[in-house]
Amino acid sequence: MAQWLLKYAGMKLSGPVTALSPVFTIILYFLLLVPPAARAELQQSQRGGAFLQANFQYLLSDFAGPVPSQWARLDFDPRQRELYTLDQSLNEIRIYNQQGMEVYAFGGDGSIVAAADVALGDDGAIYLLARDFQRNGIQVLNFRGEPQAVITLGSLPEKYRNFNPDRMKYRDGLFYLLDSRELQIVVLKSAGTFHQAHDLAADFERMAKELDPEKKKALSLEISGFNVGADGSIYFTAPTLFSAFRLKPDGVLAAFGSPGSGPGKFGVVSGIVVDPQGNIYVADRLRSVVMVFAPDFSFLGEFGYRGDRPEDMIVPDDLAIDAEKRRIFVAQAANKGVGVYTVSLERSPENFGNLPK
Amino acid sequence: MKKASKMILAMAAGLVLTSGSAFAFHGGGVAHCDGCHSMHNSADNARSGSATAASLMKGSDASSTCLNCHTGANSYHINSVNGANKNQGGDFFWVSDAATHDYLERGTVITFNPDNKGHNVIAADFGLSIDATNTTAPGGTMNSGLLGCTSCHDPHGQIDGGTANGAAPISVSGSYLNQATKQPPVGTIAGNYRLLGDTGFKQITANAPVATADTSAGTKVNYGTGMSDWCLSCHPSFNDNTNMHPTDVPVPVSYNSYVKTGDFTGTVATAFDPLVPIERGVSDGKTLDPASTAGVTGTDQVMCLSCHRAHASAFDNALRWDSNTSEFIAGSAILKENTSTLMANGAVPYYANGAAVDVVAKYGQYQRQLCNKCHAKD
Repeated sequence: MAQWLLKYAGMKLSGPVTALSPVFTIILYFLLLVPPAARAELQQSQRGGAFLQANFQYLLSDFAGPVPSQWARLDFDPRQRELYTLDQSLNEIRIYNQQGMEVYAFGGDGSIVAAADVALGDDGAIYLLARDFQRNGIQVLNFRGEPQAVITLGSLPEKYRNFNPDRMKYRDGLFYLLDSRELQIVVLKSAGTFHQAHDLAADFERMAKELDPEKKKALSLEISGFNVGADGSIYFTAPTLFSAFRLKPDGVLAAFGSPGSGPGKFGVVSGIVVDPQGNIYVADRLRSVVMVFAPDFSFLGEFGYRGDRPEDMIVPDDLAIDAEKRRIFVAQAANKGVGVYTVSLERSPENFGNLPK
Repeated sequence: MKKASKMILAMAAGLVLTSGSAFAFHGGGVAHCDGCHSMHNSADNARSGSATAASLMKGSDASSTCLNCHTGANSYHINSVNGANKNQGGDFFWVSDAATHDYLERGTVITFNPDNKGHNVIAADFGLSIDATNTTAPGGTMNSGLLGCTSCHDPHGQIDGGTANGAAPISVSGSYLNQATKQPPVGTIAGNYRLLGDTGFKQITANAPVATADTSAGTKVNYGTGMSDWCLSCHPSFNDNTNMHPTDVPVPVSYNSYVKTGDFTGTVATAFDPLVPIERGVSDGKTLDPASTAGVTGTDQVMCLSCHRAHASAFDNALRWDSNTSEFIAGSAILKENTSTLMANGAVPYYANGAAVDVVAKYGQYQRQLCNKCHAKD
C-alpha cells in the first residue's frame, strides 16, 4: 500500500518512514482522504452464466459523516439523480445528491404529516403516503417540503373498502398503492381517481393451503418489499411464503424463490427493485444480502453479507436503483443508514437466448 | 378488478411447494436451524471475520436475531417504528431509542423515559439498548445486561428439558389449542404458549403459563393459569400479597357490572375488558376461547398482565393505561396525535382486540384509572 501511494505521488521510498518525514505525511494524507469505498473489497459472483460485480461506494452522508437511519424508505429521482429517504422513526425526509451527500432535509420538526412512504413525481413533486391515509391521503409537497395539495382516494370497488395502504410508488402518472396487510394493490391516476386494483388474498391463500393443507400452522400472510418496473410490472416479496412476485400489467402473476440459507435462497425477503433489463434485485434481512435474478428468475448472484464493516450489510430492507449509474441503494438496520453499491452484471451470450420475450 | 380476476399463478420450478412446513416458522418447537444461525455465512461470501454474534446467530445478539423477523407492524410483529402494534404483549418500540420525546404530565413537560415502558431487551440491530435505570430486574437479581427475548422465550421450544429429557416430540404450536385443526397427534405434544420457557430455562422457576391466542398476531388472548408465578421467576420480591397488589386472587364480581365511570350496567356475558384482562383459572388450553367476552364466572384470578403488558406499552411500568395523566385518562398527552406532544406519529397507545380504543368513546370523558374495572370506585 505504501509503495503504491509513493508511486502515485511520484516519489520513491529511500529511507525510514518516520512520523516527521514528508513521506509519512503523504502516506497519512492518502490513508485519511482516500474514501473507504476505494479500500472496500470488490465482491464477485458467478452464477447462472452471469458475472456479477458489486463494489461498495459509501454510506449516504452529511458533513458530519454517514447519516444513521433504520430501515428508511427509499425512492430515486432519475432526473435530478437524487435519492430521497424517509426515516420512519423521525418522520423526516432527507435528500442526497449523486455523490451521496445530503443536500436538504425536512419534516423532523413535525412540519409534515406522519408518513409511511415517499415517492417522487415527474414534475419534481414529493409525494408522502400518510399513515392515516383515510384522513390525510397522499400529501403533495414542493421541493422545499412545503405542502401544496392533498390527493384523496376516490371511490373504490366494495372489495377494497378496508384498503389502507402502507407502501407507495409513482410511475408514469400513476400511483401504485399497497396494503401489505390486506394483500391489495390499488392503482390511482394522478388526480386520485381509480385506475386498477389487484386483490392478492386468494392467490396467497392458495399458496398457503398447498403448504399446509390441514391448517396446522398459524399463518400470517403479508407483503414486504414493493416496487414498480419501467413497464408497469409490479414486484413484491412475501417473507412468510419465501417468495418474490412479478405482476405484469396484463394481470399475469408469477412467483419465484425457495427457502434456505445458501446463495440465492430466501430467508426473510424484504426490498425488491428491478433494472431496465428486467433483472430483479431482492434483499434478504436474514441472510443480509441482495440477490440478483434474471427476468426468467434464474439466480445470477448476490452481494452484501453480514458484518460490521461499512461495505457489509446489516438486515437490509428497502432498495432503490439508479439505473443509469448502476447503483443500488440499500436501507439497513442497526441505525447504519443507506449503503450504496455499484453493480456490474454481465451475461454470456448463450444465456441471453433463454430470456423470456 | 378484471385484471385481478384473470390472474394466473405461474409458479417457477421449485417454488415453495417443496418447502413443507417452512413458514409458520416455530410451530411450537425448535424451527429451522438456519433461520437463526448461519452455518457458513453463505457460500458465496469469501470474506472471513465478518461474523458479528455468538453462536453463529444471524443478528448482533439473540434479540436482534429474533427481530429480524418480528420487527414491523401488525401480524406477528412486535417492534414497529412508531408504536403502531396492537398485540396483547405490546410493542417494543416504546422502549426503543427512537421513542424518546417530551410530553405533558400534570401540566409539566416531562422527558419520556423509554427505560420505564417495558422490558428493555437488548437488540443492537434494532435500537433496543440496555436499561439505563435498573441494573437488575425490579424485585429480583437478574442482570439487566442479560435481558433479551430469550430470557422469557425459549427459541428452541423445549418442554421439560426437551426430548433428550424424555419429553414427547412437539408437533404443533401451543398458542392456539382451542382450534380443532391445531391439536397434537397421538404420541406428540403441543409446544408452550408463545415458546415461553419452562422451569429450568434461564432463570425461570415455574412452568410456562397456559393461554391461547386467536392468531400469530395475538390480538386476542385468553389467559388460563400460571402467568403470575411465571413472572415471579425474575421478580420474586413482588410475591407479597400482603404489602403489594395481590395476584392469583379472585377477581371481584364488580368486574362484571363495571362498564365505565357512572355505568354499572354490565353483565357477565359481555363483561370482559381486554384492557383489563383476567386469568380464567383453567389449565387446559383447549377450553380457552380467545374471543370470549365473558367476565368473572367463578375461578377467575388477577394476574400481572391484568395491569401490565408483557413486552412494553406507551405508559410507565408497561401499564395498559396512563397512570400519569392529570386526572382522567382522556387527558393523556400521548393521545394527542399530530401535535408536538405526541411521541410518535401513528402510535396507538390504547388498544384492545387489535383495534385502537378511543377512551372517550369507550369510557367517557371523565374516566379515571382502569383500576376501577375491579375496584369500582369511580
